[in-house]
Amino acid sequence: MTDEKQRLQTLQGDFSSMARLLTVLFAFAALSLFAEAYVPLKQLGAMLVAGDRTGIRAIGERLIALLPAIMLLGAVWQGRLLFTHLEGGALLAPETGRHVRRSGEWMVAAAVSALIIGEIQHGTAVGSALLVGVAAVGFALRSLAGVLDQAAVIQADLDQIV
Amino acid sequence: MAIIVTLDVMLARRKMKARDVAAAIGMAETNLSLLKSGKVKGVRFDTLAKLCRVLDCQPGDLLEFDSNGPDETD
Repeated sequence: MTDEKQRLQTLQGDFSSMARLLTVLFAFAALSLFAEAYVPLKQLGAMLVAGDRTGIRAIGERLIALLPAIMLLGAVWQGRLLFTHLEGGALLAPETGRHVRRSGEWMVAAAVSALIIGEIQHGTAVGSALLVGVAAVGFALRSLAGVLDQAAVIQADLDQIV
Repeated sequence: MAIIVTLDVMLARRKMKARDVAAAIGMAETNLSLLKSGKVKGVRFDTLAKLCRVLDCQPGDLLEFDSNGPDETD
């Protein structure tokens, strides 16, 4: 087996492991989020049925506070899709750039929503330095996706040389 | 394109099928078909050498230059 094929095989093994890890992380995080949202949702349902609207605002705030985490979950899911795609071997394909871009967008959305929600609910953006970091990584991923798009174009061109 | 691939002529001369040549040089039949019809952007020297070996010919027997063909620029 040539060095190149061996390297690709090693990489595909890594991608497969990452895809499995992200699947597990996604499942765990989704369950945690569901557990956090379950009680407020149940209370909200009971209040709406009873016609009691006194605690709706507080419950609504609790649910909205979960939005950034849901968006980060979106980034994890995109990451899983990325590594599942890479496992197939087509490294420099348009889908690679697309998944990286979407992961970045979810991260930016999570960070921005956390900053805004924190500002509205607590009067201050809790953990703002970390959130700015998350947003920066998200933007960087979006830029990297542009590079991968260009690489896919070059690869498509190379594929036409037999 | 200004370069014309005359692989089909050589295949007819040698009375060989494209499928067999593709298998002999380790290329997908689809790619060889694309090469035959000139719908590729280039040929690797390695591929050209394998074709010449299998068909017992020279590169010039597989490629022609048409001076009246379109001049492709970037």
